[in-house]
Amino acid sequence: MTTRTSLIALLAAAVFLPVLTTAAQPRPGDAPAPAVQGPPVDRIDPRPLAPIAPSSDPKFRPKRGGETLSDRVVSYTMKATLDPAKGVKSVTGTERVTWRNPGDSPVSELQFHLYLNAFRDKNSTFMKESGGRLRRDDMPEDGWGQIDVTAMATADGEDLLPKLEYIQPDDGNAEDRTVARVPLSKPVMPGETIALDIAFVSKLPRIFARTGFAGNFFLVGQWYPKLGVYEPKGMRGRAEAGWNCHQFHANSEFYADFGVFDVELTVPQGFTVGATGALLGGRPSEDGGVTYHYRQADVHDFVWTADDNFVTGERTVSIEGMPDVKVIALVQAEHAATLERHLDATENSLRWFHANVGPYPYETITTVDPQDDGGGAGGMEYPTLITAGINTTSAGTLPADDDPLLEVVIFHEFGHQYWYGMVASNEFEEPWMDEGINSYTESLGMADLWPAKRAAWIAYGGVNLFRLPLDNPTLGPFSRFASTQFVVRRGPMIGTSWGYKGGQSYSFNAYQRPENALQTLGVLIGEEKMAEVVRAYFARWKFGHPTSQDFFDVASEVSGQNLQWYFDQAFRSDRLLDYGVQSVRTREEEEIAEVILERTGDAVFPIQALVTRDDGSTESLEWDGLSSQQIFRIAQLPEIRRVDVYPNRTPKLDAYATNNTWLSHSDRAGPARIATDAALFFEHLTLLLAGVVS
Amino acid sequence: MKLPIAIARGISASVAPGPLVALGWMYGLLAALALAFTVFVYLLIASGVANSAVGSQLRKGISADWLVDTLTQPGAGSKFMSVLFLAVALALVYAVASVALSGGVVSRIVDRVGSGRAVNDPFVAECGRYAGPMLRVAIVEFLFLGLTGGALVIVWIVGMIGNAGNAFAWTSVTVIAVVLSAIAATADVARVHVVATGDRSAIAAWRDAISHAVRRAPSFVLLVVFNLVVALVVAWIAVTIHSTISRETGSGVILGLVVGQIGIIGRIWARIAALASQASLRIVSG
Repeated sequence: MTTRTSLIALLAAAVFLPVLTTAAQPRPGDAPAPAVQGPPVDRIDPRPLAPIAPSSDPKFRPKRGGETLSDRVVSYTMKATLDPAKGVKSVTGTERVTWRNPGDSPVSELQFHLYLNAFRDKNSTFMKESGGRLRRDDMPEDGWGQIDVTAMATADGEDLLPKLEYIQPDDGNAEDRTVARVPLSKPVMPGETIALDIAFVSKLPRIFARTGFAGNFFLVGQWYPKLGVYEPKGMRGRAEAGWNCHQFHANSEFYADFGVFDVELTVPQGFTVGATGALLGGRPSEDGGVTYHYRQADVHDFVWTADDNFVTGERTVSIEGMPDVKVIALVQAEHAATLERHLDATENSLRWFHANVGPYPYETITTVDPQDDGGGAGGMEYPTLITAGINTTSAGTLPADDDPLLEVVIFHEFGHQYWYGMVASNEFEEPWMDEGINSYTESLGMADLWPAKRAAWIAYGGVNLFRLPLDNPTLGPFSRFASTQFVVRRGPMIGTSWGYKGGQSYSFNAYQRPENALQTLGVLIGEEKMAEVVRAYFARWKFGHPTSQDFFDVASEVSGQNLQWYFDQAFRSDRLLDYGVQSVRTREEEEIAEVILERTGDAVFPIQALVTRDDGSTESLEWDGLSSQQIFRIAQLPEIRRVDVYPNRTPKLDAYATNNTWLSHSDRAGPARIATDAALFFEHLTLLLAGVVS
Repeated sequence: MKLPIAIARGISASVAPGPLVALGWMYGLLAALALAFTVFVYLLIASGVANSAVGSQLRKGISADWLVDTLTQPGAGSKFMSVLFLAVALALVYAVASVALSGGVVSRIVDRVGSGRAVNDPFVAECGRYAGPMLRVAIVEFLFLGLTGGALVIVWIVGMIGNAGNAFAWTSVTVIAVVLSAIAATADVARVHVVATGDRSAIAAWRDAISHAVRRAPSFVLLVVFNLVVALVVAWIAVTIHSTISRETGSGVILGLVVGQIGIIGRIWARIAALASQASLRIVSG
């Protein structure tokens, strides 16, 4: 029997030995792509494009050189007290909110976000859209939360509370109470400021999505009545002035005006607090607790956290060209071993963005590690405060050193300080502008900062059991999936956060697909120009509210070419990009070779393919990419060894990679490795499932 | 002292010529099926990446480019289903064939740990002689495994979905593994009964096996746990060593193939040794 099994092994070797000999071919160097003017997109596909808002009126570009960083349309002076008692878990607060009419016409009503009401019952728009499940967490039956406005009056004493009414501008869901309007008896004139005094009680939900409590851990977000954005005519390309105040949705919650937040937070003794902005001081409160005073200007939201289980780390980061930044990490005691890792990741993120995008203007950045049961609050962004979360990144276990997930989450959420925080695009209407641009810079930053952290682990029961033979999916190695027919054919990338078709469409269209499109833009205009585009876009639109078209305009200006044809295809259509080498054939009698390139998708992209011959010489083939096929007749000799459709960098928007290259000799060792590994896996699984004897 | 003796005699018996012949048959069967699977998968992959640099990427293992293309290109679904169908079909073939071969395997083990009687009949003839009762024993075993395993797995799934915690995660998996191993070990004793007594009744065999498991519960369960640990350690060593081998070259692939198959042989040996030790415990226990 041993003889027979050996024969089988030899037979297997005999099958594979002859096919395992072809060496891998080196790739050409990474030279920048030539800038190529593309064709008008309607020459190939006249289908209409998704409508988008036009460019913002230039007068709504953020002003530079003034006394303040932002226009400070609003200000909030708030006092809030946390009651962490079991069964209560609420925040009682007051606020004086001021709002300045930034438009040219009188405004006769105000609109507010009351987003905690998304957790009020199963009938809110958020609950209906999410089905009570978000990012693997379920809404607990006893976890409801809500915000009740108990008083609202103008500064001169007019009671507005009876006039407060809920509205549903997005879906007409009468049960949704996340947006309210209050008519004013006296309109606010252009440039005039109105002040309101509001009292409220916020019963916090048990955390399953973003905000609430888990035990004594509190992540208090969307907790106060917050004004929507009044957009004058021309702002964000708006045809008529009006309020932009969307309901709280499963996939979006951010769009607000910049201003000043001055907040006093009172918590019981023993709680550690972190919040948006700088801590100005603390003092004992009348009820035996502690009151902390925070202030931050030029932000559009305020969040805070409290826990009696935090361990705290701090360091000051000094970088030339920006104020010193206090980096704070609030980490669960049982995760204390990762405290330095939190601080390192936050500091490195800060330094990277400063060097590659622009200066960070605030004095603090706080990174919060939620409690294990509060994983739904992890991976969130707020002005000067972000949440990471060991629990959300490594299934309850401390992350391995080569596991990048903690760094990915921190880098990504820190990136939102720029894309959402300072460049305050409208997450509801154009979600790609914060998540997509952020995913793009995340892919660049992760490659720069932590190239060795690529492992993906299978964890079970809090233990990393098995390292997958793949780069961690969080790093985006599979992001090209968002460029394939399964995503692209479902519709354009640009759309409202609640309008995408299919379960994962939002994620693909807000994160991976725009990342792919921006990387492809870099291939088109060159990496240096792309870096300039990112910096210029930030410089122009920080502390402002840009549209997609505003980004496109910056890209065209910086690159020196009209790129609208590209943006129309990549962002506003369902056109699939795919080019490949169909074949290389020789005509011996004519001593020529025919290199046949093909366009298998319906998006158009200029191609500059590269032919590499056996003697190392190369030949470039240029094609406008318009026709479905292009035949290049070139000299047969020296023998053609390789043809690359994208010789420098492969655009991630290209749907299929296999046809991007043509080799004169197939590499058989690669397929043999996968096949033998698969067979071994089959054997192990068969032994496990079928048993040996039984 | 019966337990150590049973373990020692089981290990000794598992490396004797007779059981090694059985091991050879079991491995040969699995290797033949794996070879068919390998060839099919190789041809499928090679045809997909022919003349493409993506084929070279696969030297380092599964690449994102290849995986995305494989999953999303037109026709990907039918290719994936064909691989899945082949894997399931071959696994079923192995399961059925291994039941058919179990009479020969057990007779050689009983011969070693029992009276020491020389088995002169060819292996295949021994398999044929006991094929009927072994099939009936296996059917009962599958019923037990299906019902018990199904119930335990449902409890496990419900607990995991409900975030029952890490302690539950490990306890439940341990319980499932031990219970299913105990059922398989009881089935082994039933097979031993068939061969040792010549009684072809599956009911009688299971009755005897259950009676033995109950009467000798401490020793029986300890042996089940011991054999389970040995099997896990052997599997872990096999997978770990294989994963350290670079398979980026043709010779690396061959080396990985050989080392991988040694690991598979090790797993089959661990299973035969477990059967032999249970047979030994049954025989020395009277």
